[in-house]
Amino acid sequence: MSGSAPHRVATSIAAETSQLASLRDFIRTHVTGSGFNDYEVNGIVLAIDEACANLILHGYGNDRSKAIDITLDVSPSGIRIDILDSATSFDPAVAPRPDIGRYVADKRRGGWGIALISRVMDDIRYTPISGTEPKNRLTLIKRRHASP
Amino acid sequence: MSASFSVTPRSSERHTVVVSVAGQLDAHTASDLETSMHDLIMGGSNRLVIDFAGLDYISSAGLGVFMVFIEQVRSNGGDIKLAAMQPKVAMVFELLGFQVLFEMYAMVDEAILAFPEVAA
Repeated sequence: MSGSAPHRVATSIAAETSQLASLRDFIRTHVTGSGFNDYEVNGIVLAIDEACANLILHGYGNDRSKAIDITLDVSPSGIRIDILDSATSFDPAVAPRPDIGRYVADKRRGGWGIALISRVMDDIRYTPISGTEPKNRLTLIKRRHASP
Repeated sequence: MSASFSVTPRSSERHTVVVSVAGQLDAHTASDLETSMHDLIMGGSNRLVIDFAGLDYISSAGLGVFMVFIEQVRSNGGDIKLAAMQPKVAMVFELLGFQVLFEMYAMVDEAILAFPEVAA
């Protein structure tokens, strides 16, 4: 199902970077045609890719026995993405802001993912889930802006 | 399904090496680019033009590869110039403000000619 009518789709991937391409295809298929323009669709795909890449590399250590669950909720107001995992808890709000000059000097290859997510999404929320698996929920919100 | 990605270097004018990247550059494929760039730079190439025409997707892992090498290449008197990006790829560089760090050109030939001629 597609279009801007309310609907929910979900998928689960193994925690290894080889899964990211098919995840992006899944996201693009379900977000295209839901009322977002191409720039916004590209941003949503990028944000989910960045969030899951961070989990795979830094949360799970590319361990394919672990899983990440992704749910997309399309509604008239926009899209909500919930990403659930059981890796070490990490709140993106506490991540340091990247500094281009310092990163170049340090030859740093990473650290840009959360900055990208925050630039393309309207809201990012981290919620620890106590006593259950999965135990972390990252929620990304993109609101639908009225056409001029 | 893994992302498809390829890196193809070729020598060009003004002692440049044009590195054509194609497919999808993400957290899975960035190491392929990093290996190729490392080998080129260790082999003495420091005038690099990255031809993005065939690249459909880039994430921050791909951008990070250029961050790793830019200082070293410039300290050797060279540069990494970026060319022929599709808008959806340029968007990612612009979101992070990387256009202040890298020279970006619409055409590969423009990027090559932006390097000064080498004295005979």
